[in-house]
Amino acid sequence: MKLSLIAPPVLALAVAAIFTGGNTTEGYDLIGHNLSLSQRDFRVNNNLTAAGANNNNTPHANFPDAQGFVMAMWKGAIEWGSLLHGDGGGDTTQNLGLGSGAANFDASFQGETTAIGNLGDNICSGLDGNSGGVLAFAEITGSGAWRMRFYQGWNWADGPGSIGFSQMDLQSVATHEYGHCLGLGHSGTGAATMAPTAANGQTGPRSIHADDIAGLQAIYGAASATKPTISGLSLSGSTLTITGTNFDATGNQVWFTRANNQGNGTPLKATNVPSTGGGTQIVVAVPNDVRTGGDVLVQKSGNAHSSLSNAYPADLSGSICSGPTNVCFSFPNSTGNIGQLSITGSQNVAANDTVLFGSQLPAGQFGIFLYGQGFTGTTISQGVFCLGGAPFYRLPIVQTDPFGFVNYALDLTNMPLGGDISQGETWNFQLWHRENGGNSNFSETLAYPFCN
Amino acid sequence: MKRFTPKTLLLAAALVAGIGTYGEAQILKVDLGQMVANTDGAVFGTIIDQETIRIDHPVDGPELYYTTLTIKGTDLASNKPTVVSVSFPGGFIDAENGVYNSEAPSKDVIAVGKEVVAFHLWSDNMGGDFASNALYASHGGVYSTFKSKGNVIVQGRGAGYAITTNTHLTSLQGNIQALNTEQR
Ligand SMILES: [Zn+2]
Repeated sequence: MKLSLIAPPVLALAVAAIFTGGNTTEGYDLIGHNLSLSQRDFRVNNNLTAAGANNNNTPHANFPDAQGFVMAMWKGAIEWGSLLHGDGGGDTTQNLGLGSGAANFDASFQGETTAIGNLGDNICSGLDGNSGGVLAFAEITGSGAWRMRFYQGWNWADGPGSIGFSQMDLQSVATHEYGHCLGLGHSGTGAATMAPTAANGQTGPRSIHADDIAGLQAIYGAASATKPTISGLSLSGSTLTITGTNFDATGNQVWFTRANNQGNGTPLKATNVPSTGGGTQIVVAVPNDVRTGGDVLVQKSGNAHSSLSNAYPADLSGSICSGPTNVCFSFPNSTGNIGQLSITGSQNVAANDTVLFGSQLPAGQFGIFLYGQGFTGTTISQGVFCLGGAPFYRLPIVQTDPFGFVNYALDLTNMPLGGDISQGETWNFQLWHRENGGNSNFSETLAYPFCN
Repeated sequence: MKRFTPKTLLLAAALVAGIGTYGEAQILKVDLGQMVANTDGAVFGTIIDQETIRIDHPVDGPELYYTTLTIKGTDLASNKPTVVSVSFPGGFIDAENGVYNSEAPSKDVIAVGKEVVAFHLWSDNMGGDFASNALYASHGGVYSTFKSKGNVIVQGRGAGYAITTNTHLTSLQGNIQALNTEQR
């Protein structure tokens, strides 16, 4: 014992005895709190080094980028969700799929952390040692926030299928503990996930029982007919299309999972997002710092439990929007240098803020910016034309200044016929310019993705 | 089906008032035989002290709370007088500093002056390098008693607990002694 770390013992006051633990009356029990929309996040500090706690390294599309303890915890929380999480798969012991709550309750996975966190940080982690028969516990603060600990000293198993008869199922215990976090006490129904005791080898508590669902609905209400729902996602570049129901016409928030070790658990949110199709479709740019596997949720106006949609899994790690890249060089022009090109802007078509800059060019010469999606190089006059192999388009004539610079601001709403640029596409840009003596040359060529 | 019971209303009031924290836990399911096999001993006696400490540990995390009960009475296996301290995670130092685990038995069970049966197991580290006699399975390891017609009755807790139904202390003690002999 490290005495220096221990506060002087003080007699516990009556407050300590407010709760009567170990309820065994029939049916579910309510603690008395609920998780507001600001407490729906959960994170995992994967310090659980116990044998078997991190053996599951089989990826699953419904839990992108997660495995082991992290995946088990994610499954435990989303089992309480209102609708199937993705297609509900990921647990072969579940007959009905993961996501069985059918209530106005859904949680938002917010990645891993590097620390255990304070009481109320909504983080799950391991705890060294043992205290007899205690498997894990959740601590809930006065504001309804929580912290969850799993004792290292057990023979844990992280699934995903059935487990050994002498092993304790991590996902089952996670499901049980998260039930406490969201407001449920112990149930007197023996088959309920919220029954107070657990036995080795059992995986039944992974799947919440009708009694657990009744308790959940007693706190949050059965899923409202007006609650937003997500039924599908599609990603193109960094543009995410969300399909569902009951989105507001304007002012929706789209919640994303932050990358590991980022933020304080608060989801990264795209705000003021409109919907189309009578509230059935949302198109949103994935924020730059959300390039990871996680869940997407939609909150419509208001902070009622029924304002938040189900959590839908999304692997957004492929949506990284890189900047312009040089895909083809020309030959040096009369300045002795290869003409340089740079492009500024937000890489977002709707923002219409793309500007082309040329430099290291001969002074006072006319030129034309060209763009296309081909990248075949051909020597023409003194340089290399790089946009062969596909249609290319000409922008209006420009002229270099006395220092050999030139720029042109694109108007993406008024591009040459056939050369419209759409979000999610990548286009190659190059400058052709006249040279002294009736010759001509080209700048380098940049590929520019419109992906933000 | 039970909804808001007086206890949950009390707790809700405490939560609304911002008083400390509340904890829940899941414990291993054991019957009496397993309980006796898993523990160092069982005591029947009176709770004479109760105290809670806070540990802020560099590895295990901040704000770890443990409550220790001191029980003076009889060791049920040897039938000899004993004084045993048993600890469990959770508890409150004062109104604003503490955390409560559902393993933590109810006020009715662990108040100073109450007579209980408690099962204990030494742990070198209950978390945060706190070494103590663990109250085995916390709320699953302590049982209220009451007197009836001159007999001490140990209150059963239902399915999943080591003592499921109300049992005469003498009968429980006989069972524990028999199990101890069997398991020796
Ligand atoms: Zn529990």
